[in-house]
Amino acid sequence: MLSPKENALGCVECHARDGRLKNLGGFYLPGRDTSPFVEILELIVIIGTLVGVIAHAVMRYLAHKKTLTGGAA
Amino acid sequence: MRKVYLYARFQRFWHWMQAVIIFSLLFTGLEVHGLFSLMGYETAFHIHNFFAWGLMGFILLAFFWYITTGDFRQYLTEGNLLEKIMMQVRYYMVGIFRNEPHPFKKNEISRLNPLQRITYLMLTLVGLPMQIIFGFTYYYFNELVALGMPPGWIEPVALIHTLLAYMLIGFVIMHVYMTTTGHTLTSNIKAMVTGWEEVDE
Ligand code: HEC
Repeated sequence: MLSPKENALGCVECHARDGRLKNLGGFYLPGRDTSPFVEILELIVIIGTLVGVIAHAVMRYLAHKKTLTGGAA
Repeated sequence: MRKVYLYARFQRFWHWMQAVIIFSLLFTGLEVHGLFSLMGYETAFHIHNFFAWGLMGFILLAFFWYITTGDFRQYLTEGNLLEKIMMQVRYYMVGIFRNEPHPFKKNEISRLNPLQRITYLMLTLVGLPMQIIFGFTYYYFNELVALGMPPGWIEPVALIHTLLAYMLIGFVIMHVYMTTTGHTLTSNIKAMVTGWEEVDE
C-alpha cells in the first residue's frame, strides 16, 4: 500500500487537488479526489436547506407582523 | 408562560460536547477533503482523528446514561407515529404562521415532539454510528487491507463518509434554525444552557 503517513514530504505535496500525484490515476486519493455526484448533490441539499430556512423565517416574520398590526391577536 | 425543567445536567453537557465535537469534525474533515487549507493537512488529520475517538467515547457514555436512567423512553412514541409526525410537520408548514399553539405540549415526562424523537433517534442510532464506522474503516484502511479488504474500497468508503458529513451540515443548519421555533426565539437555546424552558401555557 502506497501510503507513507510518516514522510519527509508534507502531506499536501500529495494530498491536494494539484499535488505531485495530480496525474497519477487509478486510485482514490484523499484531498485530491472528489466525486462530482456527491459534491453537486450536497451543494443542492445544503443550499436548499439554507434557502428553505431563510424563506421560512421571512414568512414567519411577515405573518407575525400581520397579527401584531391586524389587531386580531 | 410556564417554566419546566427539561434537560438534566448530563444531557446539556452531552449536547454541547456533541456540538463542539461535530463542529470540529466537520471543520477538519472539510480540510482533509481538500476544500480549503487553514491549519495544514497533517494537523487537520490528527485533530479529526482525535475528535473521532472523542465522539465515540461520548456516544458510548451517552448510551450508558440513557439506558441506565431510563431516559431513552423519551425517544419512544405511543400510537400512530406517522400521524403524529404529520401533525408536527403541519404545524411548521401552516400552524406556525397562524400563531397556533404547538401541537404537543412539552413537560417533564415528554420533552420531545414526535418529529424530534424520530430525527434524533435516527441520528444517534443510524447516522452517527455509520459515520463512525466508515470513518474508522478509513482510518485503519491499511490495516484492514492487510487483513484482506480490497484496496479499491477506499473510494466508496471515502465517498460515503463525505456524503454523510455533508448531510450532517444540512442537519446542523436545520437544527439551529429550529431552535428559534419555541415559545420565544431563544427559549429553546436557553433551555439547553440552563435546563429550564419557558413553554406555552
Ligand atoms: C508521497 C505522497 C504522499 C504523502 C507525502 C502523504 N500521502 Fe497519504 N496517501 C498517499 C497515497 C498514494 C495514498 C493511498 C491512496 C489509495 O490507497 O487509494 C494515501 C492515503 C492516505 C490516507 C487514506 C487511508 C490510508 O491509510 O490509506 C490517509 C488518511 C493519508 N494518506 C494521510 C496522510 C497524512 C496525514 C500525510 C502527512 C503526514 C500523508 N498522508 C502524506 C500519498 C501520500
